[in-house]
Formats: sequence, structure tokens, C-alpha cells
Amino acid sequence: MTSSTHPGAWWHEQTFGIGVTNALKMQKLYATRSEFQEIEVYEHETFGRVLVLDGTVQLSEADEFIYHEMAVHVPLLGRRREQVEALIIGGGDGGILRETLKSPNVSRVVMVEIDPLVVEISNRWIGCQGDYDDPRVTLLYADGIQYMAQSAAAGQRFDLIIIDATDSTSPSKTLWSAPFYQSLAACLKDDGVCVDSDILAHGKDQVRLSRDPCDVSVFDLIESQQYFAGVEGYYSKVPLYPGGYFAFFLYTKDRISHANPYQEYHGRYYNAGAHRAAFALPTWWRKLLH
Amino acid sequence: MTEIKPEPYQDWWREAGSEIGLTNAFALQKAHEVKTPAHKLELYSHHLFGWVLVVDDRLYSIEHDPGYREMLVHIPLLGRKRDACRVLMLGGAGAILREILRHEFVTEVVVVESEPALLEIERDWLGHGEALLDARVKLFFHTAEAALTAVAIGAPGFALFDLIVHCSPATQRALSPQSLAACLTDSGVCVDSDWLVLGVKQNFWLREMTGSRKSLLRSASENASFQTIQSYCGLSPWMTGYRGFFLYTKDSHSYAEPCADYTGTHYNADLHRASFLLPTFWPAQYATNKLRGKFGGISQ
Repeated sequence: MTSSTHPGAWWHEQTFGIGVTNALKMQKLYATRSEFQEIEVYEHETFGRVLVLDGTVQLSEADEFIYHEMAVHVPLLGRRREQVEALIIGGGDGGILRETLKSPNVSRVVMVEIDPLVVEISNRWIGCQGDYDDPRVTLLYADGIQYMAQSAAAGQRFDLIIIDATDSTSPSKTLWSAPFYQSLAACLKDDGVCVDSDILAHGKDQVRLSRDPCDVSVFDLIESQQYFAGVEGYYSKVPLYPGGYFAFFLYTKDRISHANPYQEYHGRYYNAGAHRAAFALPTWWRKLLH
Repeated sequence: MTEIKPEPYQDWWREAGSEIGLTNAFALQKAHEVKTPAHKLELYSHHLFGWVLVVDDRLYSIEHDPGYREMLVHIPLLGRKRDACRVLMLGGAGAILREILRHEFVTEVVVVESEPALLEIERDWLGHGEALLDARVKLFFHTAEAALTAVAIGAPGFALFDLIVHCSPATQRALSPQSLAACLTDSGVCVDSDWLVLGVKQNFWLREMTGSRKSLLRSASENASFQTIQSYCGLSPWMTGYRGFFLYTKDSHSYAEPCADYTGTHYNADLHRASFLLPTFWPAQYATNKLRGKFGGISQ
């Protein structure tokens, strides 16, 4: 095997049973354990700082913008809305908040993160976060399911909900369940949209999602239509996420498509063409959604 | 709920070559190995993606990889109407050959492969015997350079081609754009691909970081053998996830619009068009059929 001049040791995550991932040669900069999970920060010569939670890559400095831009600007620009009230479930690295605040149409953002240490460590070591001091922002350290249940009970609903939680690490293990989706639906306005995402591995005989082991998978949602009448899929690729395509799912109650942006915007990844292209799904994926 | 057991770390196979500190890692089981005077060929099985063929410790092909093969083949084949098409395939990947042969207007495919043992594995293990025996296929156990020379001197069976599929990693840097262009009809196209690496300091094509010779992309960008280099994007589960495909042409034809409807496992007409709608970070000099630009660093 060719030796690398990159500093550090080889590392890779244990994947969700798909048996393929990226091996990365990098140096550990920081590690700690919060009340909820193991938190590590690595340095990679090509990809910069890498945030790892419970042994799972969350982001790198080099590629975080792909996920964050596509999770935010597609639902925001796929349908004209004014005075958008947005809810972020998770999002501790702050990248979703950063992109959400770029829209002048967003009037309010509530971010509910369960683990204060993820926010603190991300701010200190990664630095991709949005401005928590923006007057539109309310940051809460709380359980997302409980917050949404309380919010719905109080009649407070949102135009845009972005689920930016880990797939399989400790704090999220109970997230992907019926009570979660019930609260999610209750918290979403009738013309609102919710963005969810997962890694989709397309094998010879089956398609695997990283949340397959959870109680309710995205495919369960699509099949049942119990909580949302419409589920629309689009995709991208985040280089350091293992072994599959990065799938986004838009849940709506009124089945309005978000595939065509109503105005142009240029991010580092996002543009109107890339927006439309993301909805042109491979044939095998089209079959899954229909 | 699905019961999933984590794969033990020590059983993972990691690809050689680590110029960017990133390689593919797979949980694999070895099924077959052949050592020839030129190469070490290893065949592994993977529970989700099927056979994994490794040549000289580098990933050569994965059985279930339609996102690469179909996008490599069907876009140049369907991006221009042709009543008949002669194809030169540099590299003996049977799965790519199978995709080429799906089109009836393909009248002839010359497959050039220097390693006979590779084709034996393709035939005996990977199930591509039928494609290799197709009446339209002619096999030549040559190097790619020898094949291009054969075209240049007008050797029997080596007339000009409409499509050259450049899919052999071993020869990737050895071919000159002049010799490739000389083998193409005036309306012909050559296709190859590379990984785009998104770095924290700069983005670059992976072949720029590996090996000592210039990549075809760089060589072709620096001379006038081809009028245009048009690129399109394929997302991939492997490596850096962003595979750039390059179409080298003499006549600047745009391949962005399919001329016929075809649906594969991965490919479809909408995906064809979408692959030319590129992310903002994509190197602008290869986007949307712009004329050949000076090759330089890729800004973010």
C-alpha cells in the first residue's frame, strides 16, 4: 500500500451495515464525552477540520456547505414564502442556521439542540456556524420531540422545519419514531415544508438507508402517508459521508412540489440549475418513491 | 426494525494510494487472485455491491455501479443522433461493454485490453462472457497506444471511430490528445472521467495529484487537438463522490440534450440533462460547452 505523506493515522467509521466507507488519514485534535455522546475533532490535510460524533462523521470544513446549502435553499427557494418562521431540530454545528439566516424572507429561527457541548465545540473548532446573536434567532438546549409537542400544543407552527440530527448516534436513537413524526406533523403549517435527510446506499438487490434500524424509516413514511400527504426526494453527495448518495426528503401536507426555484441564488454549491438537477433522480430511486 | 451488525474493523480492505489522505474502505471477502507478469488481480465479494475487482491494490470495478457505467456510456451515445456508431473501448471492463451494446445503432466495438487475465475474470467470474462474444465485438490484446497507432497506419479493423471510451486507469496518462483525436471521425467524441476533490484550500482533479505524467484532461487543455472539452457531473457512492466526465470533441457539439429516450437502471433522459447543470464549485472552464480554457488551479 502506498504510504501517505499526510500526517496522522488511518481512521474510518463503522457504517450502518453497508460495508463501505471512506478511510481518512488524520490527526485527532480534541475529544470529550458530553452527557449525550462522544465528540471528537480531527484535522485532515485536504479536508480540514472533521467533526465526529459517536464515531460518525458529521462534517468537514471542506464539504459542509454542500449539505447545509441544499438542506436550506431548496425548500426556501422551491416555493415563494414571506416571513418564514423556521425550526431547526439539532443543527449543533451551526451550518444550517448560517444558511437559513442568508434568506431575507426568514423572519424567525428557533434552533433546538439537545447537546450544548456540540454547539460549543463546533463554534470553537469548526467555525461554520451562523450568527447566534442575530435578533431572528432563538437557541434552545432541549429535546426536539418534547419541544415540538409543546409547540404544537401551544398552537405554534412553522413554515419550514429542518431536521438536522445525527442518524444513529446516541441522542438521535429515539428520534425516528412515531411520536417524533406525530409532533413534526403537528408543528408544521398546512402549507409548510419539512426537510429530512439520510444516506441512501443502492446495492445489487436492495436499497439501504442509514436509519433502517430505527422504528420508522423514510420509506415507512412514504408508504403510509400517515403524517404527510407528500414526500418529494432530491439528492446530492457529501464526500465524507460513507457509501451512498445523500438523500433529502421534503414532507408536505399539500403536496406542492419544490423542484423549481422561483428565483436564482448562488451559493458555493447551490444555484438554480443545481436545484433543478437535484430532483432528476436516478431510475432506481424514482421507482422507490413511486 | 432491521438488525444490523457492525463490520469488524480488522476485516476491512483499504485501497492503496493515498495521495489525498482518503481511500475507499470495504468489508470484503477474497474469492480469487491471479498474478500475471504485469499485474496482480484480486476479486472480492461484497454483500451489498457484489464483485469488487482490484488491480494492483487499486479498485478497478464494482459489480453494482450503474451510476458510473451508464453515465459514462449513454450520455455520449445518446447526446448525438447517429445512425451507426463505431466504438473504441480502451480497457476491457465487461460491464461498460454491456452498456454500449444495449444500443442497436452501435455497429462495432473494438475492445483493447493488454491484460488477458482481466478479460478471463470478466468472462468467468463477472458474467460478461455474453457481451464479449457479441458479434459486434472485436477483442485486441494490445496496449491502448498500440491500438491508436494501428488506427493511424490504417491497420485492418482500425478505421476511425465515432466514440472512444477511455476507461482503463492503467493507460490513463499515457495517451496523447493528438493520437486520440486522430482516431476520431470529425463528429466523434472521446469520453473519460476523473474525481473532483473538494479541498479546504482548493479543489482539484485527483489525477493531478497522482502519477508523474499529465492527465488527458490537462494535455488536451493545453493543445488544440480538440475544439471543446465539455464536462458533466456524476454523483457517486465512492471516493470523493463527484465524478467529472469529460467529452472531447472536434466540432463543439453539445451532448447535453438526449436524442432518444432510454431508461437504464440509473440513467434516464432527465438525469442526462441534469448532469450538465453543475454545482457552483464546478470548474467553470469545462461547464456548459464553453470553449477549451487554459488549465489552471480550480478556485472555490
